[in-house]
Amino acid sequence: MKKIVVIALVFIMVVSLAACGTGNKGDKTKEDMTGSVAMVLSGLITDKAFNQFTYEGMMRAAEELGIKAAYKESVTQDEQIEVIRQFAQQGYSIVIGQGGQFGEALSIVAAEFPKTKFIFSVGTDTYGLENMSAATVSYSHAGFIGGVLAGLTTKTNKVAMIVGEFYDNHRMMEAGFYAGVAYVNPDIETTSITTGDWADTVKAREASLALIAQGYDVLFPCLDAAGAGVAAAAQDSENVWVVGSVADYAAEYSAENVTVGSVVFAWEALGYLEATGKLTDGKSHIIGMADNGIAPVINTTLDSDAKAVYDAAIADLIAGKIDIVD
Amino acid sequence: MELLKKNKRFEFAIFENLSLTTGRTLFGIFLGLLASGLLIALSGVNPFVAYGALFRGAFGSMQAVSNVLVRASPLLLGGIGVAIGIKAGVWNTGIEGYMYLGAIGAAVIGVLDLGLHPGLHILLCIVCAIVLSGCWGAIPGFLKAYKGVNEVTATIMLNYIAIYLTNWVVSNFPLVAEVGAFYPMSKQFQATARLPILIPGSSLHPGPFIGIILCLILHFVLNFTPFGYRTKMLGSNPFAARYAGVDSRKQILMIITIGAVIGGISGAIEVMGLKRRVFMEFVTGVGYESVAVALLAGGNPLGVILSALFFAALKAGGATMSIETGVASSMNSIIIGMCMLFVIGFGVIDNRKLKKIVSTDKDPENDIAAEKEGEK
Repeated sequence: MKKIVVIALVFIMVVSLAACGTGNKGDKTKEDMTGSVAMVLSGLITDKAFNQFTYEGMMRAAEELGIKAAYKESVTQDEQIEVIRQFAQQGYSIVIGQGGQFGEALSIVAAEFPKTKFIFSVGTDTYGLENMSAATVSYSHAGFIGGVLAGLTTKTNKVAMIVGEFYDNHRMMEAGFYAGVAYVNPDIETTSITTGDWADTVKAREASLALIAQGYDVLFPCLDAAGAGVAAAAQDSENVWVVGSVADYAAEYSAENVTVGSVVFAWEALGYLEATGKLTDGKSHIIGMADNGIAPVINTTLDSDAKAVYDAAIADLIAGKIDIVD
Repeated sequence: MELLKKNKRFEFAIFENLSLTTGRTLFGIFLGLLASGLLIALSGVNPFVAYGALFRGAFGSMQAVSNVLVRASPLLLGGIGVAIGIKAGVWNTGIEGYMYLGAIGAAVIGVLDLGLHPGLHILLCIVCAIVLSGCWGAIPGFLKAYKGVNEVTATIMLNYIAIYLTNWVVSNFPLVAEVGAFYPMSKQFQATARLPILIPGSSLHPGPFIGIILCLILHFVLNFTPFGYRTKMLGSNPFAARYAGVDSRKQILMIITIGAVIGGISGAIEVMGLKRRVFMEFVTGVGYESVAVALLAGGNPLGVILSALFFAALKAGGATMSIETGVASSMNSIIIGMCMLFVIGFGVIDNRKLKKIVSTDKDPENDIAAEKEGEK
């Protein structure tokens, strides 16, 4: 019984403290919330990847347009709904959920706040809600450009793609890659393998060496930190090249000597577009080459023939002449 | 008459002891908040403004309170699961894994359209979660009880297996996994398998109240049943317990399995009440936090209620704090860590004092002998 009394006393203390807290902050000045944007991120805004760049894109838009912007980093799964709802309650016009794991939570809160716009970033599902849109960079465009670069580079006419695991978007990327290789030369042999781990460098290196032993001389990795293993395998072998994706392999993994180029995902551009409010029409958007969703970086000098093929491929892609899913 | 007096004194001692531990805990928390306040000030934010936002985020509105309760749900259930282990002298650190197994169990039934009455469907999900997590928990329970394997190692290693098992289930197991999703997740739970939302416009599901009720039930079980008596006896002196005829192996197996079942219920409630799907890695450390919850409560089931709510308030308020004041989101874990450190630190000091008292009073004849020597 006495324990209960003690517990009750503690509660009273805490609640009264809370009352002091609210009392002091009651007269918070109302800010202009038109066009304001908030972003929830699964990681840190200093991760030099995905999270940081989309965040920076949003902040650039906020600065240019003079709108209020806010964010919450490292949002864990148990707090997704709560944090998204808090932003909606505070009156932000656009709430962006950055990452595939936010879809469900966004849809739950979107149904509660019909006037707020929600963007499911790096997702494609809008859950049939009018105030929820989706936006992502085009994986198939990235695959296509990577395929063209790989096709132009290979000497053995064997190129391979390496991914951690095939999710839906990586399947599209794979199809784009094959289409890109075939655009250069339909006779080039292609394959793709999974390592089962996005961050395991050793596994990625072993898988790459196995491919190289089979005569594949251009590797197209789509990995996170494990990309370093692919770059290392190429550096340890003769006449093997890497076409990077997602990150800039030459800069990120100091692999200038083996990197032909990288199809960098322009997360910054995605974050910028999302924050401007142009993507809030309740539809699913795929930001491809035409909207700078993919930023190819080329580290070698292509000879004039190769350059002509590459430029034609990019032009065809932008014009929508390439038959791949967005 | 003599007996009555003694009784009174005895009760008074308990009360004093409890107020001492509660006071110590509160003072530790206070010092923890003070130290974190200094760190917040160092990071360039006014700590009073930051703590103001924290309190508002935890208690400022009905919504805030419901946020705290929602976050408290897995901590309450996980905390009580660990706490009964502590009472029996075993460290059941596998809550993370049990939560995944419970979630899988709930999902296997929950995503199916069985055309059942909601109550029945929910019950079936929970039963399946209990069976799965119970079997999972029986593994380290058996290893600890009959093979002498360290339960901390066994449960933590099994946590990893549970995490990867869940990854496989939500990405490849055709019955449950959502095909073509951008993030590995299960299909959505059927409407009949979702827990009701108690306050519209919030996420408040019955989970936290189930947790509190379980804490109360286990408080009575531990203190007023033979089972609870055996458990506590085993925890305070395993040799004495064995001497007194307690089947310590069976008891350990049961305690770890009960913890696992409660952990499984916790995971099931989390996916049925809050998340509506099982996502890859959806627990994100809550299972380990519940070990800290139980530790802060000293294994006391009623204390678990308080310490789970305290953790949940810090977490929910901390989110608001970092949204409104821009304090780094890691500050939240720092505050929790600081409070834990100070509370545990006081525990160590108290134990030392206790030891001193015990060692000097242990053998009065020695003291007399020493005095005599001094006289000489």
